[in-house]
Amino acid sequence: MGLGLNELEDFLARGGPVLLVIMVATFIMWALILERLFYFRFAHKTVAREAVDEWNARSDRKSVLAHWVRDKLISEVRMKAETNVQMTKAMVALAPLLGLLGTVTGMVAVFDVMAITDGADARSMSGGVSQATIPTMAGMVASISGILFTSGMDRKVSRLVQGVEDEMEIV
Amino acid sequence: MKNFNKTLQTLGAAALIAGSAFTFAAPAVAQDVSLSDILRRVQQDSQQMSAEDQRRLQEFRSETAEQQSRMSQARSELQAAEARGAQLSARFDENERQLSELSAELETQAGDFGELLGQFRTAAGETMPIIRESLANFEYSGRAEQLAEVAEARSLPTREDLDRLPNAMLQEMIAQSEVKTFTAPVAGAGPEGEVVETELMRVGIFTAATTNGADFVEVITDDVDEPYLRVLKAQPSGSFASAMRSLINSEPGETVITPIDPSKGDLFAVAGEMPNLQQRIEQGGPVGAVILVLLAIGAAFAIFKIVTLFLMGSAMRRTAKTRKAGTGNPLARVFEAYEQNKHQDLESLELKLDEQILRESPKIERFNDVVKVLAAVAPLLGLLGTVIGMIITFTAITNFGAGDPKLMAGGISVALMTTVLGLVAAIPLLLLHAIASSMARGNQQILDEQAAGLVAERAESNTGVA
Repeated sequence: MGLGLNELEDFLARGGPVLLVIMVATFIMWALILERLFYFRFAHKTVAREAVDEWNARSDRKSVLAHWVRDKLISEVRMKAETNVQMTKAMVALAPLLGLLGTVTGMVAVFDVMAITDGADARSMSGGVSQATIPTMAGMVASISGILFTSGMDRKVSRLVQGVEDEMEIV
Repeated sequence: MKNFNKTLQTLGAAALIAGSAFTFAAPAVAQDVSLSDILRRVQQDSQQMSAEDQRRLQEFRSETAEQQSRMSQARSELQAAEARGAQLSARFDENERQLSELSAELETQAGDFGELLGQFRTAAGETMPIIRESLANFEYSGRAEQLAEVAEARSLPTREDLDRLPNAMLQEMIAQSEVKTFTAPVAGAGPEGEVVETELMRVGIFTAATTNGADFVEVITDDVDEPYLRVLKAQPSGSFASAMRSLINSEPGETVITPIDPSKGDLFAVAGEMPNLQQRIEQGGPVGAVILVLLAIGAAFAIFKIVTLFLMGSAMRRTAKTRKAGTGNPLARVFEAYEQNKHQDLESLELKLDEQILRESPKIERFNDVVKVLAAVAPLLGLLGTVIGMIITFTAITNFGAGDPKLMAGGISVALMTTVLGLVAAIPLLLLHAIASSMARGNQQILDEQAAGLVAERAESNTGVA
């Protein structure tokens, strides 16, 4: 069983329009997650290095003013580390809602068929039923796959910021 | 004869009584009429009467003879007719016998051919209604009537009769592959729904539409003697019509996508009855309307918030670079506070800055909670609508029983549509709120954590310490 383009097309057609929205939302979510993973893995080091170097280049690292400057440098690192985390979490929360939307629109389709055929033909209702169930499943899968990566993100951010703070020694 | 004698006796008796009466009366009335005269006269009268009787008797006798002769004549005629009847019935029996002999002979001689004819008639009878109800029949009329004639005929079909069936079937097959325009009377095509001769385009025998406005047309066959064309009461949605229009406007040889309804109009009719977006939203009822109003309010707040936060953020970033004091954005106002208090000691300067930052915070966060609350309320309202719809449904079941799903459909559509609308409102509002709150958070952080640092850097650069 090869999952080719035809199978994907068939799957999307059976899931209805909401499945398409879920697909787009999942792509955006994963783009955001991957962007963050790459940032934590590669770009963060440069950002942290620059901040620490700027701190180390200062002659005054003791006064109140110096503390203010240190806070500012750490805050810049934190802001860069926190970019998109909020959005990623929002997308993870949205996926099951979109799945629920698919369920309800699928049920609307089922009741349309019932109203037109007097509810006699179970087979003609199956189109609406698959429109109801497939988006739910897809929304769950998208959400769960996203949760695996977003749940640790806050801790990762605070750990990285903590690391930068530790490197900026107050003489 | 007896009667006649009796009559005579009676007459005699009467004459005697009259005579005696005259006898008694004679002395009193008149003496000039003698008895002999009377007697003579009576005798005369009786003679006269008997002569008359004789004559009438004669007459009766001659009449009887005549009638008897007529009767005998009629009897002989009856005999002749009966003889002829017997002869004819004999001939009829003979003919009958001959007929059965001949039809038996025909059957023997026809053999397999007879069975073939039976098959032919059955096939013609079965094909006739298909062709009669076909779309192509409005273009090539008369085929169904010819087939009906052949199917019902008792005589041996001629070669031409036999050819009608394959001809009709072939023509039907060819018609299935054609895309053609033709003119036919269509009910409902006129402005007031009257029958009008209309130019139609048909795709095979499946789909037909008027070429002027691309209204789809269906064949009506139920409860009518003669099938007729009628414009669909509810036209399917725009995508079907635009695909049909692209076919109508296409050049010969061009490839276009066109709608085909294999059920010959039924599916298009069903598609036409599907509620469109506006009707769907109306199905949501008052709760649905409330949800949509909330969505509009929330979206307006969120978009306003996002735009102002974006402008504020870019202004603050510019100020962070130039470090110019002013009143345009929160960071500039913090610098302004620094400028005014820079001659005081650091403790009170920090207090002044914190105070300024605290004053700015509500402006950044303003309206964000409104969006959040609306995003949370929308699905709850959807749930409320669902429950109201279920109550309507169960009321319908209580009143009318569960036999008719159409009666319950109203409540169910309220229930489902409010849920849909609740989610449709909640999803974008949540997304907008996420965007707005992350932007607000960024701006807040710039103010909270950077203001002090930027002020410090500025102070240092002013005093030359670094």
